[in-house]
Amino acid sequence: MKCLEIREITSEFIDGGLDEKNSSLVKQHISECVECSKYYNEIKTTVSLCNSLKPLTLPENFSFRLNEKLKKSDPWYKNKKLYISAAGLAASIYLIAGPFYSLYMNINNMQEQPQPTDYPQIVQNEAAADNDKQPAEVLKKEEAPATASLKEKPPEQKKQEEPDRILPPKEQNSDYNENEATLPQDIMPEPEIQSAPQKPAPQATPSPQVSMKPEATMPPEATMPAVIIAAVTPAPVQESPPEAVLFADMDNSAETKTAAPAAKSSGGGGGAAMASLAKSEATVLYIKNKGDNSDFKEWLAKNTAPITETNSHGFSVISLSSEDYTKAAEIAQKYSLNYVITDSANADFSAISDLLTPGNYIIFTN
Amino acid sequence: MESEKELIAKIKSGDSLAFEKLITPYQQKVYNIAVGILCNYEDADDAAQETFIKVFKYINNFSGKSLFYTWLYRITYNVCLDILRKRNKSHFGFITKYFQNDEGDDMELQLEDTAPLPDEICMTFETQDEVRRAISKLKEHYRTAIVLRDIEGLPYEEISKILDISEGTVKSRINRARAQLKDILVKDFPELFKNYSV
Repeated sequence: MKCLEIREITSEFIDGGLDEKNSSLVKQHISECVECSKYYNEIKTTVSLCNSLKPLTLPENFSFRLNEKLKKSDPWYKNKKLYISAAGLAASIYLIAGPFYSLYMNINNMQEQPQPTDYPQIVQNEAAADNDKQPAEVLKKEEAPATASLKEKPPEQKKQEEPDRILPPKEQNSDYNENEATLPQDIMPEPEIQSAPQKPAPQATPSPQVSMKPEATMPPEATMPAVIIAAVTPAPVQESPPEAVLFADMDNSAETKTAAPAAKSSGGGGGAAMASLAKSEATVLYIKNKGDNSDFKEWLAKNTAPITETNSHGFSVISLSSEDYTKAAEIAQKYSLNYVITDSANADFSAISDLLTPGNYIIFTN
Repeated sequence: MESEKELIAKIKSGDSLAFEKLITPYQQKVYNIAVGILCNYEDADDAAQETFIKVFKYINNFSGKSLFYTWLYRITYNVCLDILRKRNKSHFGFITKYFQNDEGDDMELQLEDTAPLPDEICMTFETQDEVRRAISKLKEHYRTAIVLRDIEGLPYEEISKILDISEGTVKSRINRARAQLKDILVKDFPELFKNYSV
């Protein structure tokens, strides 16, 4: 072996990562070559110097400041246990009073109220986000001014909760839901999400993050009415797919029907999301399905540019076969992708779910 | 003593006290990684705080398929990269100024006295400071490789997952990073290498 080749593996030799054969070669070479012996010893000293660096102590009040920030970003932080207990108590009261309340509501306004038979189910299954929403809706009608003030976030709070690079510039319309718009979609969903219903109705089916986050919309000092039960229950394991949120607020945009009519989406919102992406400065990874998606590809070809090393910004797309999810994660990281798109309803991202990091989203267009 | 897995399960069910237990052992490590990558104490402080806020926010998405620290350090790395991008500098030249305070005076390194030193090398505080400065002269990806491998002592496999590059790339990056750091140190601290002069 030449000196250069030996030096290429000297570092690995120091770490004990070479196999026996290569290890012997390096040992033999450095015992014979003065220059490489010197190189080896210098690298070894360098590594020892780094190994010997003492850890830096944390800045002053690090934990305190972190706690304060966490409380600010999530007012229920540190109080969750208390609130969960309170929610349990409220749930118990509701279990007893619910049927009577439902009966009362039914008598007074039968046409406007949900079916009273829903209530016992809601109480029995607090974790189900779908059900949680219903008592809130019922009470909202009765206590409209009070709940409205609770739902209204202070402007500065809204700003803090808005994660970086989460969504493309959003369309303003009266149906826009602030909570849904700021969902942390930048972390991969759990594998269970992949089999979630493909045609969600966002208004009726809140996303799991919504069920976790309403607590942030409530000022910490506010008293907790029974309607907040939904806010403190743990996130359900079964979550709505991210498209439920992203597509929901795109559906009403004017571009939906004009910019991307060919985009394939059984939910009908994919085209709108694509149209919105086209206007944003997002980098997109598109994982194509094996099936016929020619119309979708045609639209992509028209509206996107191939990504390059130097062009990692703007609306660009990389196509990958649906099997190559590890490669997808690599590319997502390399190009700082903002979006990952697949038209495969059965895409299995579980292999890379922990590797995709904030800033990378999954959108199901099928 | 609860395992990380148990703590994560508790956090997911809404127990924020478990979050504190989970992250406490990692706070100093995350801060040190951030200092190593960013070469600036204030930015590293911000990065570490931002990292833990993100971890709390997105812990529900952690499925446990990778080690928790791999996920945590990956977020740390990405937060640091975001800060570097904001600085609009892909790498640093001589980075001494990043280890200075606003007045331009050298900041005293906040070193812990408790960790034992290896027998073969007994570094003074000044030497430690200079080694950190030497590391800060490397390009970001070499600096990160040194920080994760030679300061934090992480295995190649986990570094590969944190940086999202192949193990082969990790090996060659560490090899080159060490070679460059060696050149800087040999030039600045020849006395440390005098035993090996030919």
